[in-house]
Parts: sequence; structure tokens; C-alpha cells
Amino acid sequence: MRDRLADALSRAKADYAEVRFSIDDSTSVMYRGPEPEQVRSARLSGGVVRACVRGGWGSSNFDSLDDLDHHVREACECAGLVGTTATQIADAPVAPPSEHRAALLRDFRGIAVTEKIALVAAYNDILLRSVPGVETSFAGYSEVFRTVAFASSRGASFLEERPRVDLFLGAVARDGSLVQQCFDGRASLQTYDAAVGLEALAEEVARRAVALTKAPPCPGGTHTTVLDNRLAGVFAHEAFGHMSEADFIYENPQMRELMVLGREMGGPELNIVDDGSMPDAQGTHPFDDEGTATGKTYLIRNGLLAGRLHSLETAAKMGEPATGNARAVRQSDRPLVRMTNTYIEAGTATVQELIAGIDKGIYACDALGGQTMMEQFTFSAGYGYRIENGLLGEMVRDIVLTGNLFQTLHAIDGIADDLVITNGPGGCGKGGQAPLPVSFGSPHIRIRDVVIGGR
Amino acid sequence: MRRPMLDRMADAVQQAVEEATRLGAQAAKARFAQTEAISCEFEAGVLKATTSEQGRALSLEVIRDGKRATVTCNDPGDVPALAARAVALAEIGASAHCSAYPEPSTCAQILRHCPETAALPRERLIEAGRAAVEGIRAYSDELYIGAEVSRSEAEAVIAHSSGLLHRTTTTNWNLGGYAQKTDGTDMLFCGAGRQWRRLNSFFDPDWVARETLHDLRLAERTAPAPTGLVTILAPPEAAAMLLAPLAMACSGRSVLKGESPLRDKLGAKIGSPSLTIIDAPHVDWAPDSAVMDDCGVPTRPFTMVDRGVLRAFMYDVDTAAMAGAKPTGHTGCGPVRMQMQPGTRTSAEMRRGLAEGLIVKNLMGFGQSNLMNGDIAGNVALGYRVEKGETVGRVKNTMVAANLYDLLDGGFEASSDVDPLTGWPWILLEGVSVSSGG
Repeated sequence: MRDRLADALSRAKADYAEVRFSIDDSTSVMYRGPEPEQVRSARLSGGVVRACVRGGWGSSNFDSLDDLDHHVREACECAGLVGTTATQIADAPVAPPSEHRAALLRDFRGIAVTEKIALVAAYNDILLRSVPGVETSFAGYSEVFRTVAFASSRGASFLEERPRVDLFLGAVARDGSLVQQCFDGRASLQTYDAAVGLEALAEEVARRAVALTKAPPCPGGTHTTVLDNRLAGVFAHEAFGHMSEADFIYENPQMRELMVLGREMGGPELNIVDDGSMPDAQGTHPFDDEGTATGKTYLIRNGLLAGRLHSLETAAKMGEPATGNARAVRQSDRPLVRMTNTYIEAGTATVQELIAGIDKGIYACDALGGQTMMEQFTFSAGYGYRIENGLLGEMVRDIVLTGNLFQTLHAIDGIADDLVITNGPGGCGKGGQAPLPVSFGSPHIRIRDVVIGGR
Repeated sequence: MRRPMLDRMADAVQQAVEEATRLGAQAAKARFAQTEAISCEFEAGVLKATTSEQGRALSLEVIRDGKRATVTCNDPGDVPALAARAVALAEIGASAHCSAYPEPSTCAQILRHCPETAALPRERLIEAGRAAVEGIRAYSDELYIGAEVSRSEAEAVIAHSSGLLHRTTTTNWNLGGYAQKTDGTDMLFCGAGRQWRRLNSFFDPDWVARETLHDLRLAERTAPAPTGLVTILAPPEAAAMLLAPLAMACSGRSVLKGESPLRDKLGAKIGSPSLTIIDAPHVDWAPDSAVMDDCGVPTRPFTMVDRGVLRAFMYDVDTAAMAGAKPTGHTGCGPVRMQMQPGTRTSAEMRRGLAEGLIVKNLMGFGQSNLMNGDIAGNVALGYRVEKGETVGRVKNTMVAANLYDLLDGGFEASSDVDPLTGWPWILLEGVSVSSGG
């Protein structure tokens, strides 16, 4: 297939052109309450040709290779309508002709659908019956085996198999008209076994959903807050990670000035990293969707802005190295500058030391999601506890945190030594493309004066 | 569109249904859809990209012995194999609560395909995008400006084993623009966008620029957010978002599964007498309008909440069978085009009546809260302080939080003026908790 893509590209009348074509085989099972709600299977193909002429981009997407020559022409013609300057593409090393087959420790394709349904049914039973007070449940399993072929006019050419397994657990509890929910799950690119053996997690999800019906809402206001590993990981992703994506910066002079490398972003203990090459993480690939090798990029090092995430174009236009962060979600999406596996490096404090120093505050745990509009960010904890006189107090719910990135990074005054990388279901959204598989991680961190919305 | 392909697919969906039935399915439903679209995108005030898109999908749902499964592909070359996969998967599939789809019945006629939209040339999209960008640039050369313009044409064929064969053809255009104003570490994002099926005066880049400039000017001054329990005023796009939990709670599926906080409130008062929520699926040219659900059940004007009283839940075919109710023409038990009935005062009169309040134009992170419980919370991405009836400045670093059902049953009001495209009014909500970091 790679030869066919390269052959079609050889006729591209463009300064730069690439073609990506994928085939997805997927199966999903979902329980909602006592019954299986959905059983689906799909085989979908799709691709996109992208071309750059005089700095302008054109693309043509499709679901069959039958008219590939037409789509190459179409993309080049689209680009020709746009460009008026010069094409700038980083001269990064290209992916050599190669094939990267999935090395699944336990391949989900060899396991009967009946076994997968039985697995989900067993979790669902635990969610529904292990803790009194659970009203209904969500238990889902999904798998996709994507085969991606890529070629570019720079000579990149690879085929990569990208398997993924997601296991999703949710419980809904109610107390009168108060409805509370709790969700958790696991995801893996390595093995079906990531979805197996999660009975204790299912019970914990049910227990927490019921506990939330007894918990009061978190008081609104400004609180010194300790974030657990997962929530701090979402903070690193939402609050800072997106600001380091160069497509938000490269053609905006004010943003370039604001995000100048070397700027002091936080205390000297603060280090934030994106690493698309780390083993056993969801954002890991040998190459990005422009054929650039992935790697480890320090975004903040010792509190100073140290780097950012690039595509070939943003890297060329900013005179910085390409980092292998051009990623697409759907088969026909054009790649955007995206994170891979983003985390805050471990500090030296213990979690107990972070909490012990707080007279009155909040310990916020788990993440329901997050969103950023550059300087402002918001993210939601799944649950939390009051901190009083250095000790954890009662459980609280409805914890939605917000802040200004620049102020908040400076307000981190404690980083624990317990880094955990989270591989959960779902993913990141940007530019209408979601969910992109990413991992995030962090040790516990403490932030002064966080605004929490509450009633 | 490639008509010969669609004609072939009408045969293919019927063949898929027949083949699934022959293999033992009690019922089968097939749908083929294809879309073609072109678009252009402006970045940093200049044309950055143009695109050409096409997509196809064929899906087949099969019901067999109380179970159902769905298979999907976009290479419809081997219909018998697709049917065999679906029937095999249905043997171990999800629970099915009906064994047949409803007989076809008469549907409303609405206008959804506009030849002028389908024929919009790329040059015209670029021209509109450029006009929106230049209109916004009139505010300042220092803005980061983006715009996106697209048009699409889609055609779908659906058939099922109770005799339905239905074809739809639709068009759509989309026109939007935005500005980012950066001053040190202070960033302001604002913009406007529209979509509609018919090419008419709504396709107006000057409107995009006017709306964006309006916010840029209003946001020139900042003001401290009012805190504590505050009255908020939400324009139509924000009002529709804030009412989203009500649509979730009126889902017959959520009611049946025990998730909905309204499950035992049918016939009960859940809001003030000024609250009427309807589903209006038959508005000509509206992007979401539909004449039938995905099983061929006709859609119809539908009242969920009438003057504060909860009147009905929405049911798809499977859920209706499970609940012993009649299907209401709601795919997935969700609304087709939910709207709120307007009130008596204009939005300007409502604002002028506020001694102190907050206009919430955009909330960031809204979907992260427990929407099923009616909890609404988020960062005020774009909002303004109102003082003595006047908008006095943009608020920052501010969170709002409330329970929607508490608000609807308290001081709630809808404006008499509505958005001409969505039909939504402005809404006023009293008693929203506001926290601010200043």
C-alpha cells in the first residue's frame, strides 16, 4: 500500500505533499443498567491527501483509494488557490521506509466477542450490585485496530498498526432527586489484559458514586488546593500543555512575545515534559502523522519555558526543531499540533507534607475533564475532601477549578515525589478532532489560591 | 452528488435488509449516507487552507430473537457479507425490546435542500471569509483573526423490513469568524458563527464582523464580577447550552434507567409558569430539522414542559417498547430541535431592569459538571458585569455554579426577542452562585 501512496504522490504538483490512509476494525459493547445497550462492529477506511503550494495548504479526503490520483490533484489545486508566499517545511529527518507491526502482549483480535461481552457483564454486575444505592450503571468495552499507511514527498514512508483497548466503568447513584455519578477506566495500546481484572476498580466506582450522594457540594471561593496525580495530570495537559502547542503561537506576534523561550513560568522545581516515545503510554508512536520521529521535549525546565510542540510547518516558521507532534484523530483529519504523553516530573515532598501545611483547603481528586482558552483554564475533579488543620476531612462533590495559567503555575508551592502516568479511556479534543489518545501524569501538587466554583 | 451511486445504494440498502431477513433476522434496518463538502479556512487574517471532503457509510441494524447489533462499513461492495456479520453479531447482541420496526406513515414535508447552497463555489466561500476577516480587522491590526466557511450536500437512503424506503437530500452552509486580542497575559476570545440550509441573507460576513466587534468593544473595559448569588442573563446561544440538562433528563431512556432526576415528575411543576420547552422539528431550512427518526417514525411538534409543568418524555422505538409507551419520533430519545417559548420583555428591557448582574455569553468547561443532575458550572469565558442596567465591563477569572432545576423553579424569564435561526430567546436566571478570583 505504501508504494501505491508514494506512486500517487510522485505526480503531485506541490512544494510538499503527503497522503495518509487508514483502515479501522472496531468492536464495542456497552451495558447501561442491567442490559447490554449496544453491540457494534465496524470496518471503515479513510484517508487524506494534503499539499502545500507557495505556503498555502489544500487537502482532499476520501474513503477509498480508487480515485487516489484525483485526490492528489484536488489537494494540489486547492493549495494552489491559497498560497502566495513561500512554503516553509522543517528539514527534519524523515521516517525511513518501514513497517511497525503491533506487538500486543495479548491480542484482542484472538478473543471471542462473547468473552468480551461476558467481561463487561461481570463488571456491570459489580457496579450494579456491590454497593446499595447504585441506581444504574455504565460498563463499556471498545477496541480498534487501525492500520495506517503514510507517504510524503519528503520521502517518508511507513506503515503502522495502532491497536487500542478501552474499558469504561460508570455508576449512577441517587438519593431522592440528587443524582451523582462516578466514572473510571483503563486504556492500553499493548494488551487486552489491561481490560481484565478490574473488579476492585468497579466496586470502587460504585462505592464512590454512592458516597457522593452523601457529600456536600464544595464551597465556592478561593482555596489552597492539593491535586492528586490524575487531576494534576489533567492540569498539566489543560492549563499548560495546550499553550505549548506552536500552532497557537507561530503566526501570532503577541503570543510569540508572551511565550518566549526562557520566560519564567513557575518555581525552579517545576518541570513539564511531553514525550511521544515513552513506552507503554497512549500517546506513543514511532512517528507522527507527518512522518517525523517522536521524542521527549521539555516544555518547562527548572521553572523556565524550555520548548514547545511542533509540526513541520510551525517548526520551520519558528526556527525551532520539529518535535513529532503533528497528530490526527479520524482517518480523514489533517494533522494538528497535539500533545502525546504530558507530565509534571516528580518533586521531593511527600504527599503528607503537602497536606500538612494547610490549615483550610481542598484535596481534589480524579478528573472529569478540562478545557482551556489559553490563559484561562478550567477542570473538574471527580470528588474531593476538605483539608482542615493539615488533615483530610469530609468528602465534597462538585469541584470545578479555574484560573489563569501564568498566575497558577507560579502558585504551585509543592510537588510530591509520587509521579503516576494515567492511561484512561477517552482523550484530548482540539479543532473538532476528538478523542486523541494521550496520557498525562503528575505527582501530587499543591497550588495556592485556586478559584473553585461552588454553591 | 453522484446520483448513480445513490440509486445503486437504494438498491443496496433494500438488498441488505432482505439478506439479513433471509439469514434469520426478525427485523433489519439499513442506512446509507454520503456527504460532499468544500471549505476554506483563514488563519492569522490570511487564507490558510481550502479543503475538499467526501464520505460514505453504510450501516445495518439487525434484530434477532430479542437481540440486536449494528455493523457499519464504507465499502458497500459486499452486502451479503455485511448482512452475515450483522446477523451473527446479533446472536450475542444487545437487548432488543421490539421485534419489528413501525410501519411507514405519512411525514411532514419540510425544505432542506437548496440548489444555490449546493452550488456555492469555493471562490464565494473565500470571498465571504475574507469579508468577515476584513470586517473584524477594522477594530485593530493587532488582532489575531480566523474564519472558516464551508458548504456541504448530503444524501441518505434508509430502508427497513417493515417497508420503509426513504431518501433525503440536504444542504448546509457554515460561516464563522473569531478574534483573539492579546495584551500581556490577558487574552480575549470572541467571535460569531452561523449555519443554515438555504443560501439567503443569513449568509452574511458583515454580521460575523458586527457581532465580533460588538464584543471586542464591550470587553475593552474590565470590571470585578459580582459574587455570591447573582442574577445572570444569557443570550440565545448560551441559553440553549444551559438548558441542555433538561433534554438529558427528558430522555425516556434516562427515565427508564433511573438516571433522570425528573423520572417521577411527569405532570408536576418543575419550573416557573414562564417556562415552556418544545421540540420544533419542522422548521424549513433549519440545520437540525427532520421529518422522521432513524426508524421511520414521523417527528412532530412536541411539548416537553408547558408553563412550568413537565408534560412528556421522548422515546425512540426500542425504549418505547421497553417502557410500554408510544415512540415519539426521537432518535436516541433526544430532541430534534429543542426550543424555548419566548416571554414578554425584550432582552434589553431585562438587562435594564438589573441593578446588578452578569451577562454570560460563553462558559468554558460546561460539560464537565454533573449535567444529569442539572448541575451547571463553568468558567465565564466571555461575560460582562451589569450595573444599574448597563454593561460596564468584562469579568475575568470567574466561575458560575448552580442547579438548573433550582433556577427554573425560581426567578426565571425568557425574552420576547429570539435568535432568527435557532429560535432561542435570551434567558434570565436568578440565584446563580458566582465566585471570582478578581
